[in-house]
Amino acid sequence: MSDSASKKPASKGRRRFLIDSARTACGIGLLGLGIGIYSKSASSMAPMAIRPPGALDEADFLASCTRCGLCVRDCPYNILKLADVGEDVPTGTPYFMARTDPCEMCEDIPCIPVCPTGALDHKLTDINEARMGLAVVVDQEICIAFLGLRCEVCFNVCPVRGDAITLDYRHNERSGKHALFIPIVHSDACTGCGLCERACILDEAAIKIFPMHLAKGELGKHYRLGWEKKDEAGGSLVTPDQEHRYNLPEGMRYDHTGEGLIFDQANAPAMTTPDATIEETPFSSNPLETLKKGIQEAD
Amino acid sequence: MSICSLVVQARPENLSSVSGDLSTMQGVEVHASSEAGKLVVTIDHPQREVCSQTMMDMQNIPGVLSSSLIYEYFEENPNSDQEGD
Amino acid sequence: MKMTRRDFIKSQAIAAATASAGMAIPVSIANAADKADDGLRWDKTACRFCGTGCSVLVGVKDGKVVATQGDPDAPVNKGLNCIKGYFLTKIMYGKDRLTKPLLRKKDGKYDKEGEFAEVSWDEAMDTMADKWKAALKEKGPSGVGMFGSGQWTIWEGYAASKLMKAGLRSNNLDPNARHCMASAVGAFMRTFGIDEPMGCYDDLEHADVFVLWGSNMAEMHPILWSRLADTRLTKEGCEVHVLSTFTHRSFELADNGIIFKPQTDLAITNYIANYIIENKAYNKEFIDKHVNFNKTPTDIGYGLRPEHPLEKKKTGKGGKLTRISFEEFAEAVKPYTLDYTSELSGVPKDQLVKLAKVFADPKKKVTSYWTMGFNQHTRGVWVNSNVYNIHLLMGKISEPGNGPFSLTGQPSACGTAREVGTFAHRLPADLVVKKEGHRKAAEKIWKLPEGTINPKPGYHAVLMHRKMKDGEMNCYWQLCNNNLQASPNFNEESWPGWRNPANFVTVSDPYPTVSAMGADLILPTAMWAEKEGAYGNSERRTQFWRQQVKAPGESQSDMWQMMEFAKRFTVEEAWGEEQVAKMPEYAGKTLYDVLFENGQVNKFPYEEGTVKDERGNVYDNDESAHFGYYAQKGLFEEYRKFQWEGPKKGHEMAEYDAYHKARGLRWPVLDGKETLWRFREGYDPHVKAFNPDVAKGDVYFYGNKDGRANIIFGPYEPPAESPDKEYDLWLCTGRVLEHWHSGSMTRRVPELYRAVPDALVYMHPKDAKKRRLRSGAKIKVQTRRGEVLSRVETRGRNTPPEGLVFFPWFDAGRLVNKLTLDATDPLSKETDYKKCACKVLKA
Repeated sequence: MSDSASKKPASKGRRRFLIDSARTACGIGLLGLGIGIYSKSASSMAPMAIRPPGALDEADFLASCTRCGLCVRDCPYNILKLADVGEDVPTGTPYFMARTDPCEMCEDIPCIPVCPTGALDHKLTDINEARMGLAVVVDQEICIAFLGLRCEVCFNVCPVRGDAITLDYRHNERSGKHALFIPIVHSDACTGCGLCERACILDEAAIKIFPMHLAKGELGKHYRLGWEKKDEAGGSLVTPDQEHRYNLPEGMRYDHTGEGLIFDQANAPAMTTPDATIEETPFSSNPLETLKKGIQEAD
Repeated sequence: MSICSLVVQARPENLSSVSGDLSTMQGVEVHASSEAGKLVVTIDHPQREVCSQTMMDMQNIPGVLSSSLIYEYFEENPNSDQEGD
Repeated sequence: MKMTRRDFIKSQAIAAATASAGMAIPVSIANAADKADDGLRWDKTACRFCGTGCSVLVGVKDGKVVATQGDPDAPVNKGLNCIKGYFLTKIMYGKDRLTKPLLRKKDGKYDKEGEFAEVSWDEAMDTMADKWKAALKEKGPSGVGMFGSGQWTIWEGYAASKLMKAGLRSNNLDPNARHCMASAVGAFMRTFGIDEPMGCYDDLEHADVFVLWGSNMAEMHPILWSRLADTRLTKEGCEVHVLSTFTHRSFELADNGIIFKPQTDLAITNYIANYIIENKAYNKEFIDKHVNFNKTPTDIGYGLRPEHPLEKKKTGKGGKLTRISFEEFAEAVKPYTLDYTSELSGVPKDQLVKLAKVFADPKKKVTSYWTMGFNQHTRGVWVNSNVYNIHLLMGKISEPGNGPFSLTGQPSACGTAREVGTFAHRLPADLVVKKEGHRKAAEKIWKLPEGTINPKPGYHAVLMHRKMKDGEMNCYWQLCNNNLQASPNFNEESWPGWRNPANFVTVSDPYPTVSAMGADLILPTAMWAEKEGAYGNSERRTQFWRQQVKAPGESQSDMWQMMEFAKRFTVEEAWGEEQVAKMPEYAGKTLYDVLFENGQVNKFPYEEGTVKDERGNVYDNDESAHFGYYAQKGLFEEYRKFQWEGPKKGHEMAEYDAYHKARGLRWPVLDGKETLWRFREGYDPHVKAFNPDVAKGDVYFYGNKDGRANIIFGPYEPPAESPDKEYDLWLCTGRVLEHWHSGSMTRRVPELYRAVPDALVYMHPKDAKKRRLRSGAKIKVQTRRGEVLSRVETRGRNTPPEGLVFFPWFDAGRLVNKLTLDATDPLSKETDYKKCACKVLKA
């Protein structure tokens, strides 16, 4: 318990006006104060609280957010909340929880223009450019797609379709004749809206939204990815390799940059990877009630 | 029904007496303990308020340094003990 | 150790605390999950969604299904499931199961305008029987009708067929498969003279090229799609061609993804035939030996009401085939040039050529798949046949990897609706009511007096609603489906028919569906694993399961309901004195006595302990316990007489007990051996039996008398309704992976509901922009027949081209069929749910 308290952004301590609550207060303090019982389970703590679209880096955000609540007021789907005292989010700041209330990604992003201080960056006008967090397939042992079941709900509901989540097709070695449809999240397109986490059909979601700083690894600052740099430059950064020639028997070729040795008769076309708060149910538990209501149009 | 689990930190030398005292409290069970003085405890009581009160009361047991709530499950009027799924 | 839910929660709580304290989890807690599996009784069942036919193991404890897993020993799915199969067992435990019969009443009496009140089974059935008897008396057998299902078990369908056709002498029995497979059946019968695909799922591993014609297998046949995808990934040179009127999930794997203008699939198929002929690529030897060429009447209308202007305009009628020569056929497809077809269909020429080439290449094995895109089509029978034409021209048929394969949508569309013949014109095992020989054979097996079976085909699904609206059919019993939500033109045809004061509508269902809301009497129904059952999937595989648990409350299976209903009619009431006089020994008996206690259905005794598995577990069989004999077995064994003793060979199944031991068997099962590919010597023993002179490995289409298949020219003809200035968009309806049909089961599974709560209207972003709609905006979809509110989706899994919207029909809160037109294929009587004109407005 006390360990996780240290995972909070260090910068937060600087801001004396913050009521830095639940986790450090946990234990005798919390119970002694009689504040009550907050945690439903150990896992539903602050890392899952996601900032609205356009939020600055956490430190800058906390410095600029005046806790006015206007973004919350203007969220048409009522997904944004202001943290209460005792929640594991700095009090008064806006957040949403993807599992229950993900961001619906309004095209006009109404929560941003009303922000008086720019804690939500007014430069963000295309919701697809938002980076609220990052979806991560956290449990690849239990995600049923990795087991070969046909689910792909996260892929299906993703609003940045085909870019933020793609499917990687793999052979199912166990069954021998089925394919696996593996969801892969791409940080360059994922907005962190959380629709995938809400839709995950498991009892505990296997795909979760994390704030960027928890979700992303970081490459050593000295290192560049050669193939990306080459693409950016439109060609080799140094003198291109010369043309190679090889001693080979008839019917064989050698592709220097790609496949290596090729038997001509088996020169098949290269395989391309293809692009790959809701009620529990809408029905009352009393069937007579449903019948009485009759046919109704949803909104 | 209300079920919560806690980690109780006792002075290592008081471990057995604390464990004994805890066990006498209503709805409390001790499931594990470590030499460092940590105990894994559950409180199981139909009323949520009783659970909260029990947690408070634990603070007053001699030798208890702290108690931390880890997990709480609460459900209004569970009609029966259904099979798990 | 009995693991209660409380124990579970507690063990979770302890585990969480222990982990936080950095301590080892106590052994007793770590084992808790394993212990929960103690005492589970595992048995096999067949999934009750889609036509794939996955096998699912269910774990039962204390009378409840508490666990489930894909069956690793099943060849179809090898332990895998889709997301619906994953939640399969939860469909039985929706919180609003119906448990008592409900009758509309006012002041203690039945009243069409009354409120639903709980009644006893006796009151329910007596009220219903009174209404049925009155309708029979007034209108004769055509005054009553039953609407069944491709989700019925085999014996439920068989009992229904017997009750309606033999008992009430009414052919007004049609299944929801009419909306689903009727066009496929029509083409099978016309082309091959025998129903159902020649190939099997093993084609998925043996084909070089897959062509999907109007099928989104990726969502609708999820496990088959994962097999197809695996072949595409692992087989060198494998190609996938996908044709549709909008981009959907199956396009993700397409090497040639073709978007065509609605209805022009007729032209594309003829273009390919033309390409094959012009390039002389056809298999001349095959054509000479195995094929006849035919034409069919054209301009045959759209299956609307006769007074509809489109029907008055038509010049042709029916589907009588006229033999033509190869040259005449070549001449008929000649207008379908690349230029013309590309222009008409909107498909780029290179894509059409690419598709034509894979068919024309004799070295490439091609398997074609299709479902609703072809079947729900005002020229569904034609377009099905057009694909057969292509395969037959090339001789690419009836061998591993080569063949046209019509996929079924429902778990037992084949096994029940088609094989048992619960259609208005059919009898079991491919027999039809029109043919005297067929009727006689059925009467003999059913021990009926001659002339009992009505020779006139009954009302098909859409016609039933028209006849109800017109007051000509007054009693309607719907079982195991949700036709008020599923049927086209809700506002003008189905709803007025159901609520017509002259009519009495009974709905048997586990849940209060849209249909239940429109009914007068609701009968609570045992579903899926609450009864012993059998399904037949798309590849002719028949699968059985035992009753796993009891149905809640007073729910009873459809079979029980039909057999009990039969007790309420004397043969005199049902047949008339004249007919009874032909078999005086039946005088004074009930239909139940004559149909079910006939020495055949009640042949196998039942007592507790009769149904058990190889491991000694004993299973309930509530219906058999009630009737006092093994009813399912008796019905199935009598049904088998049609296969083995009837006039049409080719549908032979194994005996009852064999199926409880197997993960399904693919018929014909001859000498205990399954048949994988039909019509080819070596694979299908019938070939040699029909044609002793057949060459080794050669084909013989024994469904037709001369052993030849029919190539039938079906031209392009425009759809019934196309977009115009006012209604400027195509409306296409369909399904999504997460929900089954009308959603009455899957929308009661919280996880599936959360995954896809409501039906959205998928639209091209430019079309949305033109109407000033953002993704997510509330909209009204309007057609000439009605209006439905929804939200627009421009970023979803389906991306329609400009000018078309896709709107799924699973959502009871958004009844898409208020919009659809009841235009049907005049041959198959199947509705075209894929094409009508709509407009979309801001709501």
